[in-house]
Amino acid sequence: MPLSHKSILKNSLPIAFAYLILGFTFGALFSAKGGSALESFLISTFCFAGAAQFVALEFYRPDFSWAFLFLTIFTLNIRHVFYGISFLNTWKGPSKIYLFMSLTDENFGISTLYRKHAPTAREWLKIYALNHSYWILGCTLGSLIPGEYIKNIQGADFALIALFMSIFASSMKKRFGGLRASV
Amino acid sequence: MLLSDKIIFASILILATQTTRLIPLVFEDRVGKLIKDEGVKVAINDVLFFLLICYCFRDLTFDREYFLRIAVALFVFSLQYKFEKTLLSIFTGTLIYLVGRNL
Repeated sequence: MPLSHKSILKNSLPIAFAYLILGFTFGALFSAKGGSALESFLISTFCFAGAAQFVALEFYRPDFSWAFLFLTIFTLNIRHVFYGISFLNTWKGPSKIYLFMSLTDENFGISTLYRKHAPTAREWLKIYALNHSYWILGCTLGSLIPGEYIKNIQGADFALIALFMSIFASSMKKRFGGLRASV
Repeated sequence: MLLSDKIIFASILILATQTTRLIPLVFEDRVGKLIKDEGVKVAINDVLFFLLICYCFRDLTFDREYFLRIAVALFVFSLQYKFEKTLLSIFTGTLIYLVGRNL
């Protein structure tokens, strides 16, 4: 059954909530370090990595070490290799490259919600692009607004932990719920 | 920072991140054959999820906020396990966490 736009939008709400707030925070910190809105937009578009972008802020100074930045970010993101492996043979066609490039912790998490529907490549593209747009919007707007507004909304990024916990709970219920009933 | 420094900074950040995401495609033929079985994929998924949750709690401290985060996360897990209403579990948990954090 094809996925409706409504269900894609509904499932993306926790991501929207967390990405906009985290993105705002990143943008504000980046701006405080001297970064521009354009840079924030480009980094969030082509890098699209929450934790890595925050860690990279420490390197945003004239004398940064290229090699150390690369090694730090590569090591931090090495878990993405395993996310990608679990999606081999799932995605086909021209959108495959974009889908792999957008495989963040959150997109990996939300993908589990959709796996039973077996979305088409086009539907996967819509899901990931929507989440990507929240991140770009958050980072770009965050770099345009004063930092003091950020303090009032900190803590709302807990929505991401809640998302991971609820998906993990559903998975555990599927695995062990039936087992307990049979015992 | 000079414009050239900014360009190099952004390029390295993007290159390091996207390398980790595109590595699986390089070995797609070899690794893909090994994990065609749906059971293996689900098992990998569960293990990765567990590691992802551990990653969320990596900043181990003994302050009130950390314990609140763990308590609410366990509450979300229980709520979801019992009722299987994803959005309800997420927003209830987030609301409790936000209220608890500001008390």
